[in-house]
Amino acid sequence: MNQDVIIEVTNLVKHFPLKKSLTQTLREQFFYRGKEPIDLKVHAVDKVSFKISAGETFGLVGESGCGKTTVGLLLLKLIEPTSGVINFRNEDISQLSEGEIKTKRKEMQIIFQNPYESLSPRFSVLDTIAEPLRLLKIYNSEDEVVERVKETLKSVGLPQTEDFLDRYPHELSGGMRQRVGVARAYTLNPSFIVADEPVSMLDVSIRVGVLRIMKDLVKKFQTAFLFITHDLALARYMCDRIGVMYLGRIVELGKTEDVINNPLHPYTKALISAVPDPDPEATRTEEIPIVGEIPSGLILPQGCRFNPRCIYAEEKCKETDPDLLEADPTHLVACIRFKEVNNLVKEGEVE
Amino acid sequence: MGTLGFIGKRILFAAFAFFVALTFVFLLYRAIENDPVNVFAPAGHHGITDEQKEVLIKKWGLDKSIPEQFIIYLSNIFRGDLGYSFEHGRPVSDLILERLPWTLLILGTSTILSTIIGVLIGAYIGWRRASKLDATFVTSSLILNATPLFFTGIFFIYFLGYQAHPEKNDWKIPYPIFYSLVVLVIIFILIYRRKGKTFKEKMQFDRSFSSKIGLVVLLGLILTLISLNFSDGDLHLWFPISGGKTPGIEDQGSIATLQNIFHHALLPILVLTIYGVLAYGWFMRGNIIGVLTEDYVQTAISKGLDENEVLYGHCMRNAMLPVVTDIGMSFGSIIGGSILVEQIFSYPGTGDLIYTALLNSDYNLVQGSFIIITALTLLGLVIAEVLYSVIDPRVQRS
Amino acid sequence: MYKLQSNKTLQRRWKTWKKFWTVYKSNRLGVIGIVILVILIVLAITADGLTPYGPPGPDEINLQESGMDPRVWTIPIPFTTIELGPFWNPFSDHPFGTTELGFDVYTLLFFGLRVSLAVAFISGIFVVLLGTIIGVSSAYVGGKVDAVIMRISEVILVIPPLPLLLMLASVPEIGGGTTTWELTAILIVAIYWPVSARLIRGQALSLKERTFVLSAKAAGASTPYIIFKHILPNVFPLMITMMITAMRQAILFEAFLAYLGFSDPLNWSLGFILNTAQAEAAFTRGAWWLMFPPAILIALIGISFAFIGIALDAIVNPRLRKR
Ligand SMILES: Nc1ncnc2c1ncn2[C@@H]1O[C@H](COP(=O)(O)OP(=O)(O)O)[C@@H](O)[C@H]1O
Ligand code: SF4
Ligand SMILES: [Mg+2]
Repeated sequence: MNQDVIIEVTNLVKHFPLKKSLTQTLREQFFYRGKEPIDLKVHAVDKVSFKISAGETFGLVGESGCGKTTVGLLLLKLIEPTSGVINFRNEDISQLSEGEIKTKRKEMQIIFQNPYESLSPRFSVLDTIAEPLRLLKIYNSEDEVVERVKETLKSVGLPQTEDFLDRYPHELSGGMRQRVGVARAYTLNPSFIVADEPVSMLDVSIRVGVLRIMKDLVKKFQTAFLFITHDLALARYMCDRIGVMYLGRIVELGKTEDVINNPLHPYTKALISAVPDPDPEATRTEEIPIVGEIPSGLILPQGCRFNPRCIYAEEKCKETDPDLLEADPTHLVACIRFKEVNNLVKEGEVE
Repeated sequence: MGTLGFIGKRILFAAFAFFVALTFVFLLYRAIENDPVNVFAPAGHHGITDEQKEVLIKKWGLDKSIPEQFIIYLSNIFRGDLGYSFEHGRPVSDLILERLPWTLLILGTSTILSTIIGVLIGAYIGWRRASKLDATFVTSSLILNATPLFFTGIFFIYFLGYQAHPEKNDWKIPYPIFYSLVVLVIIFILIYRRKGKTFKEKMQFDRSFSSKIGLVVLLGLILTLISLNFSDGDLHLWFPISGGKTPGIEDQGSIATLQNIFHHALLPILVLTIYGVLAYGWFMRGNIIGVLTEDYVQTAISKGLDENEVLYGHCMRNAMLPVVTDIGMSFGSIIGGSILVEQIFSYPGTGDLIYTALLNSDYNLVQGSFIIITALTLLGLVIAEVLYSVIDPRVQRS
Repeated sequence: MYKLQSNKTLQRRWKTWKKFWTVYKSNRLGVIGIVILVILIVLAITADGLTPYGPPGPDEINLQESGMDPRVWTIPIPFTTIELGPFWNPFSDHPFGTTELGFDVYTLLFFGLRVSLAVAFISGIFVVLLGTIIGVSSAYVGGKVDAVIMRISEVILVIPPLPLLLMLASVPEIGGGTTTWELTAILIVAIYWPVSARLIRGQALSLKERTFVLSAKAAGASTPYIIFKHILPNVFPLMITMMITAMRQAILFEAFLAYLGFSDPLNWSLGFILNTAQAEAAFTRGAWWLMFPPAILIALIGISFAFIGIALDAIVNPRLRKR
């Protein structure tokens, strides 16, 4: 089983320090001398751990701004992690330099959220898809490159004609663009792919097509697939396991069905209850409100980061910041009161 | 920090830029000529005596090392001493102070006029964008912008000044006839632009149209009355083409002097105003179009709010702010334009001063005028930025 | 195999140009601008063949070469005075008349056109080249270098440009030299590069943050590759519009300097003809032919640049096209 694990991250942390303006620095120097420096940073990703095996799709779910994209970029080393370990095929890549990581690039790729932004407007379809092949010098002849591009185009269900190869992004529909994005990620035949909300910018009607293509490709090539989304329904369709993120931390992690049918963390419960139920007869928990605004990642709440909005919060929640606890071996939750919380709900239902 | 910090920063920047300009001028004249005495106190220059030369060398430390000279130069300038013009035989600061009011007269008047007219015209044209009027405005401003300002000036001199001068030419149009013609043409255009196919349909006057025509006629009358004052007894449309006033006019009393000065300033102001109106009108038109295409304005219009209220009550205010700053920002180029205008009209302002100084190799004067012009420009810039930041705190972030 | 690829890219590039030209053709102003400009350029290049005299030399006076007597002009024409100095009028053998010294204006116009266009093109090209190099590297290096470059450019921008230009242009005269046309171009570049550098830096900064750059990085691209393959091609349209604007400005700057007399006495520009006219008081003596033709040519160059700029703008920002 362990050989199958493609990527494993442990305690991944990314902070974005706020840039200080000149006047701020001056003020600190002259007026706040000796006092603690004002050191603000966004806790975009805070101690995130998970692993993905070959052929498995892992979903990261959470509201926008909770740090999902940042996790994706960190895994590909497109930004440098503050701390933590990223084991890619049993090798820690978190400390590799830019030159060293280049050899790993053909193994890991990313599909971006916005197909209108992620394709260079001055690159034709051929150039876009062939760019990774050319950059990493996979083939020595241009014919082989074109051959490979056509092959990938076929696997994402796009035409392989010369005319199509010569088209520019502005001559493609949104769905086509995103398929080109998928094709670009798959030309290198990587063993790990991050898909950052790949369909959120697309029309609802064409989403399923793109999702199905990705699902098939994952099965076919046994890719480790990180699927990032804010939409639980999509996660349910795509993923084997999901992690729910809140303010840079995974608060619940488990098999998709477990998490969605039996959410343990108060935040997950709230998320799921907010999703309109497609099946009106299904018995569902009553709507659980989330009180208050989402706090910024700039100043984290003391203790459990969900406590200002949690309806189950108690005094002790303000003291300890919970790590992931095992509810059962495959279902982890970051809530010190998860047992009581879930009993509470059951009692409520009995009454 | 907020507004005060922003203002402080901009003042610091202006001071820095001024210092850079000072250093630049200093180094420029020292880099090209090893011995600064040859530049600033040249031997054998007809306006300079040996004693004066000695005084100059001593005062500006022209025989000392470059760093020493620089310090003396700075301290002299900050004491307000800009040097001595041997061409005029007077201190530079006196000369500039004497000429500055003339420049301020034409620059100030034309800037105020062109802002007001430009903003109004620009707003109206932006509001009626993509109309025939808009196309006319766009093409004419393109053509005028490609025409050098000095040529437009010469053009005016030729037709309104020289050729029309009653003593020089028999091409004379009396004021009343000239303005009647203008009024007739405007009325004709107004009628021509009305709805309706036949002439009869076009001629169906309602009250607002009649009042429009009345306004035009009234304007013509007022212009005639005003211009009769300048006609020196004969009813001809002409403007003086050189100088700031007729020599010796002071003897005829202060009212006559004022009139004379105004008469002389009209053409320079006209030329500067035309370019200013186009520049601000163009800018304003773009801003108005930008504001109008914003969503909330669109909803306001679709809700059926009064068009005038939307345009003048709301859009104008938002679109005008950048124009106000632009006045400060473009102070530098306005001053550049004044050099040309003053040169063409032989107008006795600072622009003419710096130009003739260059021609006469009077480098003390060149240096002094440049420093003053730069200081004025930076001052305008800072004032505009401060005003803007007080009105609209958003700019501070950019 | 490389040949095949380059052939293909050439083909594709050709296709893009053809597409561009189709869009451009639909803009009437743009076509007018191009036509005017091309005609002017052709006239300037073929100037030697079009006129019987060479460019004005230091002591060569074309009138004397022609061996004609000045005639006094008697045909009354509106807006002109009867009295005539030694100017030759257009109804003589000189189609555009002569200057007081007898330079054939027809000849001067063609050579002036050549000098003015040369100054415009050279300064336009260098403004953009310098602006691109400085702007892109400033955006990519960032930090203190970026801050310093931006400060410098801001200072140059706030110092009034025309007085600065005048002062700089006067410098050679101290050493007894003259402002050659090359020097004029250099001066224009020196005071105008900040405009293009700042614009291009802004665009490079925003392009740098675009996802496709990140995507290229994920595909193993190095920074030089990203700059040359992703940033520069996307900056290119701005470079072209910027170049047109710079040329338009350069024409006016040059005319300004030359009109005030800071010009190459051996290579008369259009502005310098106007300077001569002013110096010889041509207008008040009725020699309108010394004033209007060069001024109209200057305006034509400016207008053609403006029209081309507008057409390019409409292509680059399609949002403008709808209005
Ligand atoms: N380059 C950056 N600099 C500073 N803050 C950033 C940067 N990128 C992301 N952030 C911050 O990190 C947090 C997480 O962002 P992101 O990962 O994009 O969230 P998500 O993808 O879940 O919407 C946000 O609060 C965002 O403002
Ligand atoms: S630890 Fe406390 S505050 Fe946090 S989720 Fe659990 S009950 Fe809510
Ligand atoms: Mg995101």
